[in-house]
Amino acid sequence: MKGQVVGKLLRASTVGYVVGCRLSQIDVPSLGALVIVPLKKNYSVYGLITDIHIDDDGLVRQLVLSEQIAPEIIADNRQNRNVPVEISVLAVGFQQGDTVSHLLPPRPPLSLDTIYICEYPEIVRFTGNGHFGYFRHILRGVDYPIPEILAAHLQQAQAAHSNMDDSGWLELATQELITLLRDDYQMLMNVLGALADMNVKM
Amino acid sequence: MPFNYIDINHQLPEYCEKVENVRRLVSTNIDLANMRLTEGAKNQDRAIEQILEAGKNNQKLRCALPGEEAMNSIFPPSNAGFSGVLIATDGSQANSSRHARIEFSAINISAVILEVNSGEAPLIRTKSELIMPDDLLEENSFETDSHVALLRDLKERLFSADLARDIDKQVIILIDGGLELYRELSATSQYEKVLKQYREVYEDLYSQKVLYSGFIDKPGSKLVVSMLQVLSGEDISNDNSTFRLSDRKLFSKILKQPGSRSAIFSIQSHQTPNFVDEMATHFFYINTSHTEEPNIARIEIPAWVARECELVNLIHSVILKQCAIAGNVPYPYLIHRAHEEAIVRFEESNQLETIILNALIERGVYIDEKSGKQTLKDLERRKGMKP
Repeated sequence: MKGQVVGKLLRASTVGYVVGCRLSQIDVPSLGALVIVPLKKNYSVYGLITDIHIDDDGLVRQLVLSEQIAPEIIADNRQNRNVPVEISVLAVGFQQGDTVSHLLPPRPPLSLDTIYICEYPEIVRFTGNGHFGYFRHILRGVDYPIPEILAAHLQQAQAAHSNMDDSGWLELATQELITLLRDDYQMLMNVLGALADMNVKM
Repeated sequence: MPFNYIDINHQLPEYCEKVENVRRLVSTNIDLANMRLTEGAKNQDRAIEQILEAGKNNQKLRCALPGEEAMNSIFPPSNAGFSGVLIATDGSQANSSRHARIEFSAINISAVILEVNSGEAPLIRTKSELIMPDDLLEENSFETDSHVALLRDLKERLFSADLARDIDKQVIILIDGGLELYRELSATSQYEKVLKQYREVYEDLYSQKVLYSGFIDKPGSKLVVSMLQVLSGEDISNDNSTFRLSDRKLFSKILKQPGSRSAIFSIQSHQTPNFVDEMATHFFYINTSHTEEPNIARIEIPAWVARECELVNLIHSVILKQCAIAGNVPYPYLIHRAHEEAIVRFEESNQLETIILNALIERGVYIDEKSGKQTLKDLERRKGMKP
């Protein structure tokens, strides 16, 4: 089930892609959120938001030097000026026909494909399938804060599962993380610390 | 190829020395000009008579003419409140090139409409226009870039006037550049037509009581300095004049207080017959800086605005507030935004050319090839080489 539009694809590879949207659409995406790119019939690519990046420009750098910025000027820069928000997405799986896979997608999405936020049923469908195979894509990352991404994702997925009367998902997910990180004590502590900070109920 | 830096290096010491000499000379001239301004203000009526007399005897004379305010006056920053609507327009153009496959010109005008204290983002309006070939055909050749620039300036003003008409609050239009057009000796009938339309737009704004002002950043004019030359009995075409400096340099020394403005002057000239009476261009200099380092701009306003102290204060205040928005760069924010919205970049112009070519090819119209010169210029270069 497709949710709100996050934006359109700027560039992609099989391991991830970057989505662009206007600053006025910034309320839609959130860190760690599961997104979907519906491609051809019965083929979709899943991803997890790992970074939301807002670029500056010369005028913005000048404006921040002002003692006071009028609300009209702030609104002008947010709504009218061409300031794209770049959203980095990690590829975490795909859906082919009725099958959901936690392997990397065979083909990346293409430029200007539309990216949607996953609604609860879609989140449950993806995260409840298989045995948390997509965690290894997240844990492989080097250029984003793994514990924070995991905590945000787990919180969102747990909400979706609870909504569908599945209260045991988070415990299974945490156990899987502990297993995967058994040889990386530092990362395990960081992940568990992040989960505690985000008040995820065990 | 880059510059021959060895040649440049040899010339640099002499160049720097000459720059220093000019700076020293300008500094001396500023003091002299400032003294002459003070003397002129002591007997301003006589000075006005002298300038008008000089104007009668010299049709080419173009200089400042003082009004009621003493010519050496300094007015502190204005805090007049304004809660209406500001409109800034700017335009950009794609110029035709005989080396391209098709000669075309297009104008892009953008307006930024800001309701002050509304908290709302300004509205952006953009209007694009292809210049029709029959408008530009003259002696089997396309008209010059300067004519397209003239049309662009006219369209900017027409666009602002149209937008102002639909607004029921007080409107101030901020124009990038001067208000008037000079009559060139080689003025064509097209030029005269544009000049007439210019006048009509200003009359329309006057009838709507829409305030408008031109903002000239870092002005290079010598209107006040030429006036001082006249008052000193000097020939204004004299290259060895005592006053070899621009008005900006002079007022950098006079308007030391950030936000202050000079007296209002009108322009003594026979070159602008369409800008007389209520439309006659008046101007003042303003220090838009908020630091000790002055930044002088010239503000042009029509006579009907110049006569009303309250309206002048309003323009003065609005300009200062606009210049305070972009941090330490004292330039009106809204004019910059209009420029940002209007600008046509090289790639965009190329894209438009492709659209026009496709439309012509679809109709079976024969299309020229690019000139050989342009074809070779457009060849892909080795990485690192710049055109």
